[in-house]
Amino acid sequence: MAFDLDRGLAETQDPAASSGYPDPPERMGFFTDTSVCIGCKACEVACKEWNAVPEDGLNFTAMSYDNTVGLGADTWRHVAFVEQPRGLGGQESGLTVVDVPGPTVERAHTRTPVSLGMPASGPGDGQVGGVPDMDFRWLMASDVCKHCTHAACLDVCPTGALFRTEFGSVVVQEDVCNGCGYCVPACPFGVIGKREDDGRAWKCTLCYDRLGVGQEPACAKTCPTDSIQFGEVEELRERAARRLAQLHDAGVGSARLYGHDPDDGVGGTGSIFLLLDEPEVYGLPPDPVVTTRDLPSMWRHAAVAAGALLAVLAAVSWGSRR
Amino acid sequence: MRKIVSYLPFATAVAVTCLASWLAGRPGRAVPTGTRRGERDGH
Amino acid sequence: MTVRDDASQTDVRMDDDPRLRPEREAVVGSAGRRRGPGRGERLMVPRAEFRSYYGLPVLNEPTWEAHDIAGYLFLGGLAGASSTLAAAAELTGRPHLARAGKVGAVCALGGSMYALIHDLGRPERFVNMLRVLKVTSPMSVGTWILTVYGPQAGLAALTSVTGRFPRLGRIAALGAALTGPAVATYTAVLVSDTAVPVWHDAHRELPLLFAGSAVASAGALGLLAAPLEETGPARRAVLVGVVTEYAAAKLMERRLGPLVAEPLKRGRGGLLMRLGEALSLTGALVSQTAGRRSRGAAALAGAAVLAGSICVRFGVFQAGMASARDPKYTVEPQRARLGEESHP
Repeated sequence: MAFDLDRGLAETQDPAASSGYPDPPERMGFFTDTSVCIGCKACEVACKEWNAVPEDGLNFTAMSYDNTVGLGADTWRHVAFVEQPRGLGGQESGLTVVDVPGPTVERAHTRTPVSLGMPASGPGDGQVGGVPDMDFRWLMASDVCKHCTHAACLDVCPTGALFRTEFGSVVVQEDVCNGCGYCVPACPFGVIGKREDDGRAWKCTLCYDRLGVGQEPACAKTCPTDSIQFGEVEELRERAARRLAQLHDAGVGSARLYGHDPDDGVGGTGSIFLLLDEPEVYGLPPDPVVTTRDLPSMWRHAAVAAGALLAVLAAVSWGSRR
Repeated sequence: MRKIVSYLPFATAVAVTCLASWLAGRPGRAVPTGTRRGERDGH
Repeated sequence: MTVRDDASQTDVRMDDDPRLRPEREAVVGSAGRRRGPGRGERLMVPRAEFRSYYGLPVLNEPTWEAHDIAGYLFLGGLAGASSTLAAAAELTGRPHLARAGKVGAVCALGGSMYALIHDLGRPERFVNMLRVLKVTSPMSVGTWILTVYGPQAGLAALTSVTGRFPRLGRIAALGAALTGPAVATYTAVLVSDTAVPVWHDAHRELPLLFAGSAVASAGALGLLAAPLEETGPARRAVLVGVVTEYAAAKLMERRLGPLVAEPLKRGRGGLLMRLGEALSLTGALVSQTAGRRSRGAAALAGAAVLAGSICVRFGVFQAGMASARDPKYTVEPQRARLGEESHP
C-alpha cells in the first residue's frame, strides 16, 4: 500500500525522526533491572504524586504483595510480585554452621532445650547446621509503558490525541482525547486504560513535563536501588547487555532482556527490562507484535470483501429475474 | 436489569429500522416517477 | 550527564550516570559458587504448561460496550448493504424494495451514529474524530467513510419518501450504494486492528464474514418490508449472504486453530455464534421455500436472518472479549511462534 503506513513501520529506529521532528534529541527511555528491585513501590507512589493519578483501590489482592494488579488508566507504574520455590542463581542460605567447636556441640547435647516462645524456623529435628538449600526466590518487577518504536496505541488513535514526543515517547493529550477506547485493545502489553469517571485514556507519559525541564521521570528519580534507570535508549541497551553478562557470570542463568531487540514485533521498546524468568510470569507478552503490522493486509481483505458485496448485490438484482 | 436497559437503544434502533422499512415498502403507495413497475419475483 | 552538549537542546539530567555504577553494583545470587550443572539454566525445551501472572490477562480488556459496538457492527453492515441493495433494486425496477432499503439504511445509520457517539468516554468531543485522517486508524477511516456515506444515504431516503427531486435522489442513492460496501466491511478491520487474539488473528476472514452477514441482513430487511413480487433479489441475497457468513465463520475457526477458536465455540461467544448460524440457516431455508409464496413466511424468514446476523456479530464481539480476558490466548500462540522461530 502506498500510504505512509509502510514507511512508518519500516522506518529507522528513531521514532521521533520518523514522526517528523527535524532534529530530535536522543531517544529517552527506561531500563528496569528487576534483579535489584526490592518491591518497595516507591515508583508507584512517586508516579501517582507527580502525575496526580487518582487512587485506584487500596486492595488486598491475595497476589503476594501486589496491590495494583496491573497497568491501566490509574496505574502507570505497577510492581509485580512473584514467589517461586526456586533458588536464585548460586544463592546460599548462609545458615550453614561450620566452625562450632566440638566441646560446644557436646555441651549443647547435654542440655534440655527450653522454649522461649519464639517463632520456630528451620528444620524441626534438632539438627544443627543442616539447613538445606533455600529454594525460594522473590521476583519483583516494576512494569511501565513500553513507549514502543512502533506503537499500536498511537497508530490507531482516531483523533491524534496520542502523539510521539521529541524524546521518542508516546503521550496522550488529555484535551484532545474523546475516549473512543481504541488504544486500549490495541496495546499488546495491556498498558493504556480508560478512566471510568473521566472517560478518557491515560497512561505513562515518561514524565514529559519533567523531561522538558531536564529532570528524569519521577519513578526513576525515586527508585532507591536504581532498579529503574532512565537515560538514552541506545546507551541503556548497552548498559542492559553489560548487566546481563554480569549476572550470567554470577550464575543467574535465568536472567534475560526484554524489549531490547529492535527486530522484535514492536521494533524494540523504549522501556527495556532485565527479567529473571519468562516474560509471561511477570504478565508480559512473550512475543508482542504491533497490530498495525498486518493492517495493509486487513485493508486489502476488506477491499476484496467490499467489492464482492457490491458484485453479489448487483448479480442478485440483475441476475435471473423470475 | 440495568444491563437489559442498556440494550434498549439498540433494540429500538432495530425495531424502528424494521418498522420504517416495512412502512416504506408497503405496496399501493405512490411510487416516485422515473421508476417503472417491477416484474414479478415471486412464484 | 547531559544528553547533548549543544546548549540549544533540552538538557536532560540523569542521576544514574553510568560512571556512578561501580559503587552501586548488586550482583544477585553471587554469594556462593554455582553448585552442580544446570542450576538456574534456561530451559532448552519449551515448557509444556502455560504460565502467567496469577492468571491475569496480559491485555487490557476493550472498554467497548457490546450494546454499542457489537450493535454498531450489525447496524452499520445493515445500513451499508441496504443502500447497495436499494440502488440495485431501483435500477432493476423494484421501487418498493428500493424505498424500503433506503429508509431502512437511514434508520440503521441513525442507530449506528447513536451507538458510536454513546460509546465515547467524551461524547461531546465526537468532532475530534474529524480533525485528522489517519489510514493507520480504521476508526478514523471509518468516520470519514460514514461522513461521505451518511448524507448520501439520508438524501436518498428523503427524496424516495417525499418523491421530490428524483434525479438528485438517484445520484445520492448511487453514491450511497458505492460507499455502502465500505461501511459494511471496514468494521472488520476496525476490530481486527487490535491485539485481541480472536479479532486480530481472524483479520483475513472477518471482512468476508461481515460482508456475508451484511448482505444477509440487507436481504432479510427486504424480505421483511417489500411486497412478494419484488423480493427476488432480497431472497437471493439472503441465500448468498448466509452461505458466505457460515463459510467464513468455519474458515475463521480453522485459521485460528483449536486454541484461539475456543471462545468462538464455547461460552457466551460460542452460544451466540451457534444460535446465529442456526437462525440464519433456518431463515435462508424458509425464504427459499415458503418464503417464495407467502408474504408472512417471507417476513418470518427475514426476521430470523436479521436475528441470526445480530447473534453472529455479538458472538464475534463476545468471543473477542473472552480472548482478551484469558492470558492463555495471548501467551500460548506467542510462545508457539517463538518456538517455531528458534526451531525452524
